[in-house]
Amino acid sequence: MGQSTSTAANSSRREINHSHRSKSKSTALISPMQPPEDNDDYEIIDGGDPDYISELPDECLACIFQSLNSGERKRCSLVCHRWLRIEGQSRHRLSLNAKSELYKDIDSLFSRFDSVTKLALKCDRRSSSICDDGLVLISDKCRNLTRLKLRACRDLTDAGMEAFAKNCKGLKKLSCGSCTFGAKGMNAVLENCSSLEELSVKRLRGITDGAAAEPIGPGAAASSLKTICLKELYNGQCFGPLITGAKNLKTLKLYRCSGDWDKLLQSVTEHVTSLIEIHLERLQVSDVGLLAISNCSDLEILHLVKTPECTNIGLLSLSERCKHLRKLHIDGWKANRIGDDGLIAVSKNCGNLQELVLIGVNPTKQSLESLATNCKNLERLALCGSDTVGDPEISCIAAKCIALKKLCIKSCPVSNQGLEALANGCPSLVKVKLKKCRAVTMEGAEWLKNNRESLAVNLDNGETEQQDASASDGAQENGGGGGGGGVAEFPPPPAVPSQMAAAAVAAASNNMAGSTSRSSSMKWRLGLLSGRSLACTLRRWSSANSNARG
Amino acid sequence: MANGENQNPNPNPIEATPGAAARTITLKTADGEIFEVEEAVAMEFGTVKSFFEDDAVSATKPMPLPNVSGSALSRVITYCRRSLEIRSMIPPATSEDATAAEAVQGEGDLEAEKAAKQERKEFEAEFLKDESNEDVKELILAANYLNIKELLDFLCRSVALRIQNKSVEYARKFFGIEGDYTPEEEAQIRQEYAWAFEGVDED
Repeated sequence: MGQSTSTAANSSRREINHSHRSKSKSTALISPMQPPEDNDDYEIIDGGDPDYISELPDECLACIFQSLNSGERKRCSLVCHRWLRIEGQSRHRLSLNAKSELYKDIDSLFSRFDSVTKLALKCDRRSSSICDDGLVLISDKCRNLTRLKLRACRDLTDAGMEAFAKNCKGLKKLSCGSCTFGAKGMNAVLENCSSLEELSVKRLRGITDGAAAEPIGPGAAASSLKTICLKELYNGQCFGPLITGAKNLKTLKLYRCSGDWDKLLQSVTEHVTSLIEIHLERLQVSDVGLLAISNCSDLEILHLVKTPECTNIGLLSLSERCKHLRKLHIDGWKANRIGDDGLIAVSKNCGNLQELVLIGVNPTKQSLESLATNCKNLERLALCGSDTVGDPEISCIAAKCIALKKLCIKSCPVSNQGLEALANGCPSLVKVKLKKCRAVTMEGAEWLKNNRESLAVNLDNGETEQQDASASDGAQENGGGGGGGGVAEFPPPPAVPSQMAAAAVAAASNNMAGSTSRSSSMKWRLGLLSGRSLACTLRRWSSANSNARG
Repeated sequence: MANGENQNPNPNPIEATPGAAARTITLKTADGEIFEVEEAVAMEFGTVKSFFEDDAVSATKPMPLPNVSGSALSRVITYCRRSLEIRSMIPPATSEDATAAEAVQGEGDLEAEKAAKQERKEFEAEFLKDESNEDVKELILAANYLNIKELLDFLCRSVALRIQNKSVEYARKFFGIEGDYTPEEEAQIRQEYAWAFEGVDED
């Protein structure tokens, strides 16, 4: 076998504390082996045909499995009993199809996977999910759970959530979507899980039923909470006390929640000034809310998406007090409430700005110049759906944005001529992406590539259907999490609030399946347009106007 | 041998202390080979480190490593030495506060990190190029025994790469394992596992 080692080495290699190790459960990644005091503990494994991998101690096998994904781990567990055991014991992350039939297998499943700390229970809309008993049984077996994700587990009630919370007090992150329990269940979690750091809630039916839903929060988790994300809630205001009481809150994300949020933001920011990251999308919030937010002087990341009641005035007052703003995303929805004035104020007050994404906003050379001159750290800039960004504006950017590394232009009246400016400007530029700019052609892109070799040029005018969810968009859909960072490569194009959008959404899904388009248009009618489908939406709309189905 | 002396976070094994040769530690393998290793490199071995930290141990006697062969140790030393070199390409953070250091991390540092990453990639690809599965396994055992996390992680990742996307039977053949499931057992496990989603679950 090409062994270069001596036979003495062979036999000593086998003198490994094999059986001793296999008795211990390896829940940690690798438990380092202690240097042997003496050799008496060791078992000598007889020779014969070397069973290579069985000589590897459990913790090494666990380390190997660590690099494999779920499907691969499944195959490993089918190799032999020993692999099954080790794979199960070293499994920390498990995602289960949480239909009601799962109940009968919970016992054996969690005897095998006894070290799970991150659990996802996902059901689909058509099936009945596991019930409270199932959740309680699971929580009984997974006392060390740190993360729980629930999706469409409609048969879980407040009682189940309470029992779960009492078993898993160490929970750090809870993300629930399309569940039906209510305030009682949520409060039970907040009372019991005093280390909770992240809470993400989407479409919680239980809080919308009934005239006055119980207020939620703050509970024992008040000081540990760092991130709260609420999406598509009809009665999201009932989370008021929670947000207001989370004195160490760093990240707040509110997407498409009904009601007026100005007042709540006012009361929140009277008590919570530690916020670093705020996302407001499709929310009824105005300059009053922006002024409230400006109380958080450490604010670094702000996303204002389709909030047409936020105007230049609000942006100005915010910028005057939040001078540490690093990342700013604005989707103005072509409403022209935010433009040069607000942007100039930002440029003058927020010299640290590193990333700016403007969608459906119409900046002119005035503000672009001011941004370029004053924000000396501006590294990433994306302009999308701006009628006012053309070749002169690109020239301005090229001439003045010294720190710019990444530039993305989408659906703007830029032409090949504008690219010429980029050949010599923006000394730090590493990557430029151009999408749906009709007057920019392959020739122009090629020319730029040839004239500036170090620059990565990406041109996309194509009709190719790509699931184009931008980084920031994807982060939104995933609830919770630190989000907000990273470049928004392709911010979603502006929504068109009209029947066209409805038709477009219907046609939006990739395979144009009847049921999908039906549910898509249903979503739109409820005013809950998901950001991800918008990217496809506008593409379809602009290319197949008349073909759009209703 | 004093153990607390070399506190430099990025010890360059080639660098000699002024006026003295670089300190070495002597190791003796299972097959009787003697290795003199620079202290900085030897301290990468958790086993060695704790051996010398526990008590004032005399440096004159070679430390025995009964579970490691000469050839394996030689490969391990090569890896650790190279790894140290690559790590010293990145300037250490001068400030105590990690976030502050990050904030002021300049262009130069980022470039150095990138270069180091690339070097490490190339080096690691080269390192295992000609190793048979048996060799890799021997290295894993050595790295585990010597408690060298970085090497162990790398080796395990490499083994994972060799078996990923392959069938159960392939994995068995590859490692010479006899499957020990009855058909009923296997069916039961498959059924049980049917509940688990196979895809990557985003957080």
